[in-house]
Amino acid sequence: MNSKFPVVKVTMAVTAFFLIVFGVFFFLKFHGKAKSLELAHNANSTPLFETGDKPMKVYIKAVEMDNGKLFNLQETIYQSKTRINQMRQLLLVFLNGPRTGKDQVPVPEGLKLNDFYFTPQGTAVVDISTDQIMPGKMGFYEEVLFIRALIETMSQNFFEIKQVKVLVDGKDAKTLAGHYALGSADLGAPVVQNVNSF
Amino acid sequence: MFVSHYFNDKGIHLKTSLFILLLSVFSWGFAQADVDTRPQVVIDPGHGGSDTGSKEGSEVEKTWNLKIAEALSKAFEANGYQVLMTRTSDDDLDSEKRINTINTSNAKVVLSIHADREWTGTQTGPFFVVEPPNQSATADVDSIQPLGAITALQYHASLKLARNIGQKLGANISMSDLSDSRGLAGEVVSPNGKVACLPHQSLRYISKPAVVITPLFITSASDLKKFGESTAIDDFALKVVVGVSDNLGIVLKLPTPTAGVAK
Repeated sequence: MNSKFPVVKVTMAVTAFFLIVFGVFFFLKFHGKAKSLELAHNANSTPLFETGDKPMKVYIKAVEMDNGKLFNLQETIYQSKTRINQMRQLLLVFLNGPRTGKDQVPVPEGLKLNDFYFTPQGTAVVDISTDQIMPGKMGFYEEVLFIRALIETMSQNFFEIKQVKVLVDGKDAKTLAGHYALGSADLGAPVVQNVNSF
Repeated sequence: MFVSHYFNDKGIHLKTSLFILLLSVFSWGFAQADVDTRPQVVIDPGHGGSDTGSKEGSEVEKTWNLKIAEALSKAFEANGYQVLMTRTSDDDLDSEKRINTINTSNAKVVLSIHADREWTGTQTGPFFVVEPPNQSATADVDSIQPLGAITALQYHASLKLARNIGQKLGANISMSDLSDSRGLAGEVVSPNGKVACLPHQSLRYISKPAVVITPLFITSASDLKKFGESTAIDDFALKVVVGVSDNLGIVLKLPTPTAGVAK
């Protein structure tokens, strides 16, 4: 009986060790990921997705670095309880998309998402912050690429989205970075494509 | 007595009237001599002062804009145009003042100069932007509210201007596929087109045919090399003058190019 005691003790210790290691591993892997997709202004809202939610393929607009053209890049989000949370996930995947390598998202460094709303009329309202973008680091062409990519990314994955409206720090802004005219207070950019496609 | 007095008075009245008439004719003639009958062009170098525009390394947009605008001004004046510049030095320009200056002028066309940047380094100038028309001007009548800021007439005048200038500069003048869906339905877009229909802050409240000209991208090594050559800016400016003149139906008396002289 006494001779068996150390064996049981060692087995329990080893099991406990592995449980702690797996616990830490899963905590960092899943809890960390979920936290990075948390919206600053939505701390009290439902989680964007939960463990066990099925993955869902989406397409974000990125730029091919060798020709500067927009194309569809496949990404994954998770089927959450609400469509709006799926939209939020997509938006964050787009904004946090690749910024190195041969395919990059046309999102300037420093651009932050404040909040996201979806109106019953089908307008996706994207509230961003631009004050952390380095001055002079966004030309007209880059503003156009960002706006177009944002509109296309949101509308091509969610048929419910009829318009995309961009707010800067919760308010209507004349431009994003000094060039592209964002429009007046009650206007959003329509996603109706009548002359162009990418 | 009464009759002769009447005629005498009438004679005085006639002489006075004739004198006033002649004075008016001379005054009008002198006034006309002071009126500048040359066609006017507004050149609007984007940004200025604390507003640098876009930057890439040591290249600063506002500096390029002013340099090119000055060359344009010289070229237009040399070819019989009256030029109004929205800024002539590196000063801050109040946007309302800028819009008022342009809209109260007699300008036939407005050229807003904006060098641009694009981080992949694949885009090159020249590139042209015209403001989209408002929704009521488009064929699609739906619940979407008016989004562009100008009438269909002004849109077409601006588009024609952009294409006339682009043609002289050897650019692909078809509509860029970056063009906003707010453009008129039926416009054929091209992935390589250099004319875009997009809402630009410099064009938004302008009530005259206006185009943003992007002569170069400061992120393009080939553009910087091209505009680094001594005659490149003057050559560019002259082609813009020819494009604008074609647009306005003005025949220019350009010197015949001789051997060794840049066209």
